Amino acid sequence: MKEMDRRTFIKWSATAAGAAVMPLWIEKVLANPTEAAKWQQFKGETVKVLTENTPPSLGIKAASGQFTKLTGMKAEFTLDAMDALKEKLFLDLRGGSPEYHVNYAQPRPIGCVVCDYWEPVNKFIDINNGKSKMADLPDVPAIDTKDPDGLRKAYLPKHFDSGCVYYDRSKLYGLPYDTAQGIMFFRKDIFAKYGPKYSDKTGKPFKLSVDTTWDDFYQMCLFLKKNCKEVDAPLGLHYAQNWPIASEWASFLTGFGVEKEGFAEIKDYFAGQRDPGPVFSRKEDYEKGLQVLEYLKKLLGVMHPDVMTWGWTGLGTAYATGKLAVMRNCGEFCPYIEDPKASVAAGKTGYEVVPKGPSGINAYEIGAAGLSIPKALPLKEQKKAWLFIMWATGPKAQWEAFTKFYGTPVRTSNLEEARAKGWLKPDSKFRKAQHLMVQETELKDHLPGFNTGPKIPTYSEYLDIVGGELSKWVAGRTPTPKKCLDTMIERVNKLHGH
Amino acid sequence: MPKPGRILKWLGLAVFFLWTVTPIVFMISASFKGTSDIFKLPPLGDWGGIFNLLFFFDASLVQFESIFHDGSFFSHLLTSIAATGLSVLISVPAGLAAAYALSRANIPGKKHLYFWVITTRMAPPIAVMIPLYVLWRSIGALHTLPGLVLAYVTFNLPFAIWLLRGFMDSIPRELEEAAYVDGKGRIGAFMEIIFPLIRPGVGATVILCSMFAWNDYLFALILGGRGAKTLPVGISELASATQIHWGQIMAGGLVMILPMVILGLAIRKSLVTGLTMGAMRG
Repeated sequence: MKEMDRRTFIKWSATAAGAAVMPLWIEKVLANPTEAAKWQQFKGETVKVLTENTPPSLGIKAASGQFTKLTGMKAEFTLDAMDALKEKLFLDLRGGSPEYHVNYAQPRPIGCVVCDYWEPVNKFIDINNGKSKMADLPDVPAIDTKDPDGLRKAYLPKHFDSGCVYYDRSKLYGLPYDTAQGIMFFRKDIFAKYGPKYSDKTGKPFKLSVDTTWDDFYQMCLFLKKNCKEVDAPLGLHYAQNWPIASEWASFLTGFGVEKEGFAEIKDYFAGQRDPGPVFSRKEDYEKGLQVLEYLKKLLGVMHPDVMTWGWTGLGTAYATGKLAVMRNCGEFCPYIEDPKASVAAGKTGYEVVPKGPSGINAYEIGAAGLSIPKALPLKEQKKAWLFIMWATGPKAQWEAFTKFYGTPVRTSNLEEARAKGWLKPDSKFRKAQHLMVQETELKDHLPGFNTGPKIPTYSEYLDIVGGELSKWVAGRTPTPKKCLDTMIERVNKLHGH
Repeated sequence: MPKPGRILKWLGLAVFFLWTVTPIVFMISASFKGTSDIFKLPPLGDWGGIFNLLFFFDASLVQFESIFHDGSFFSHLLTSIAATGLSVLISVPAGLAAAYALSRANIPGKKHLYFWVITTRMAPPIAVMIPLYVLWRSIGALHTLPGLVLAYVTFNLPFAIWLLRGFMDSIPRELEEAAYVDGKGRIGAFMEIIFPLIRPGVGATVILCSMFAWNDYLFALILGGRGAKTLPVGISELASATQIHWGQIMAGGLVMILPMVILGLAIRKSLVTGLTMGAMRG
């Protein structure tokens, strides 16, 4: 027998060892597909997305080529106005066999009502660090999975609380997707023209800042009303029935120091509570509620007569067409206001934090929404939805939607990138990011003003009551604020069995 | 001197005319203006200024150009035409057959059957939306044109049966019997005697069924969805959460009312006769 030389021995030994290990390696590879394979596992299929027709979703839709490139799937978008979206989404979820994979999870008026029809994403990830629990699914992109709080740190403050948590802190119903945050829009040209005259007369500054109070601002508006002919009215808010005026109510209550919209028994404001207990049960809240009602009516004196027909969009249109000197509206209107083809206020608008209320809080409404997955979908369809959600809330999609199509980024890394480019400055040439600068200040320095309204399962009915009673009050159909508040309290408490 | 009653009558008519026509005039006027011109208002007290703003301006087709720009509006228009046309094509002939049976055949309990048919139309569409959605979803008809047509037929067919049976009842049976004597069968008698006599009624039914389908928003929004988006839904999407494209909405509204106006004018004679048919019986 021919003796085997050393080289041949090593060659054969290596081959034999390789052959022995190969099945184990193949098994390991199959059990742990590559990151690319995890994203590509549903190649050629479609994800149906039902969302609101706002700039963030238009941005994500326009950026969805990125998603197709990443996953090989097609994203089919249905974009509707909030009322139509609500009708479709409620029907789809309650029908038991959902058509849409991904739902727009606006906390109010959607999530707090139908969250039980959604699958908590705890099924897919560790909700602290974003690490995948399923071997065939990737981790949430661009998260430090070693950081025990990595997932939350990657998104804007409180946005998980607002758009992804309902009634139970241990469950997460999606990932943060967009943000609509109340800020002040004001005409810099009008402020520059009338400011010095006002200051000469009163000795006070004519400007909006974090230190401006609503009372200071009201005096400025009175001055504009008497002197300024460039606009129809100094101020615009959204006073239309029901959600718009109820949002104003919520913001002013916070500014006046009423917590949790008067539901003192709600333990965790951001999680909400299925039984919120009686409303305005504390005397001090009740007294402040009366003051807010008076204030809402007082502001009518410096507002455009059409405010009672304006929701957010009507208000935005009024400002863009030059009817107003100031409006408080969601930051996402900035791209529209800064579009010279659509708005006479383009390039003339300044942005600032909402004034302080008597409690010293700069209170602003916020509609930070998430994306959620129907519970009734089969697991495979849920996985497709989850891949879409991870992409759409990831830094690449959010950045593209923001820079090219005016989305509202919710990733902190996007804001860092914008800051590095010098966009988060009042004199930035990238005008359509002006709102982000103010929103960031509000989130950083004025977190007590973050106002999402109460998350309660009866939110739709609650809104009908509160919005209806407020509308009657501002329209002069309720004789006194006491009568308005008492009626509201009686009806809301009856709704909740108190 | 004209009588006070006559003056009041003309005054009432003038108010009614202004009440109904002003919004349409405003829509037509706004659809031919640029966006910023739509929001122009005359100074307070300048009533003549309103007239000028409505009728004397630099007309522009910019709103029409923008709605037809990307082809989606045209696609919604075609879907509307298809959904309305097909639903009427199914509802009216089927309604004619059913109405004929209910009018002429001796069916036990047909009075109750007739009433039951129309009760299906009595509930508001929103009340049946949940079961329809679940049903449509389970048969795969959701977000499809056939599904939307079927939804319209569900509502238009009972209405057509109810309306057409009334017209048929007003035709004396003797005329039909004369046709039988002449050797005609049931179909021959129907085609040669009854149909020509109720043609105005059929015209009215066509118009009313078309109007239901053409103007419908709810079925098209929920059941038609993305796959069968009609004009009312398409136009409503011109109002987004951050911007309302008033000019485009006005131009879209004008495009939307035109087919119904044309249809109404084309068969207005039949429509008037049809709507008054059976009002008097000899």
